[in-house]
Amino acid sequence: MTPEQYESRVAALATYIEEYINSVKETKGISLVIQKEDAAKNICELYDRYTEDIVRHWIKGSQKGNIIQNFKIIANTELAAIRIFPITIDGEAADQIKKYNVGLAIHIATSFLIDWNEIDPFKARKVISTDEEIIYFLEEHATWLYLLDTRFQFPLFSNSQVWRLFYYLLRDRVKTI
Amino acid sequence: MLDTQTIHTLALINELVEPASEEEKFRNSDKRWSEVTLGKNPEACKTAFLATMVAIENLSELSVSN
Repeated sequence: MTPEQYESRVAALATYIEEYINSVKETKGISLVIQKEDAAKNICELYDRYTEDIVRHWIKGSQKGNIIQNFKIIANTELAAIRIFPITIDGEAADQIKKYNVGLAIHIATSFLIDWNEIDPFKARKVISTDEEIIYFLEEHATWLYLLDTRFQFPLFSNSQVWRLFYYLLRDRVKTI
Repeated sequence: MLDTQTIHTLALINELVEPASEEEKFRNSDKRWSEVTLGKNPEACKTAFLATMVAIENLSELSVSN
């Protein structure tokens, strides 16, 4: 990752995190607390480490400086956010805290997906709130993330395929509106 | 029936054999890959948040459906 890419990615992550915290406060009345001051940097740096150690090692012809395909970036960043676990809630049970960290990871991933892939956000919103298959897909992915222990597993390639398929599903549903 | 390890291996292989033209296509599309605009589209964030709430709404049940 170039220094420019790093700065841009950290800024985007910081925006997504802030947006998530504000939206949870607004809609659920729950105050999320950032327990890691440099959460955006931590997530970005862990992402970069896994990209250099795992992704580039396995992808044919991929060298430092080449662009990594965006579904791998989304998947890898989502898992990095779960591993960093940046959020806590004062006086709340561990399962609730994990739930909102899972939410943050999904929020970051979907934000990247929509930002990067030029999906119409207004049409996507309609689809996400009404389409049963989209809803089922998201719920199941959240359950999988919740149960995943990223200390031992970091399945970024298969997660990348999940995000690729979600993108195809969302794009096709949006086309029908 | 395939076990989890086999499924994961197949997924990995599928990623590895991804056609070069696919990566090339992404690389050549500045608009698609623009880092500059990331995080500056509030509507994208609002939509992502809706997806997030849909995803975690029933998480407390923690039952993996069939």
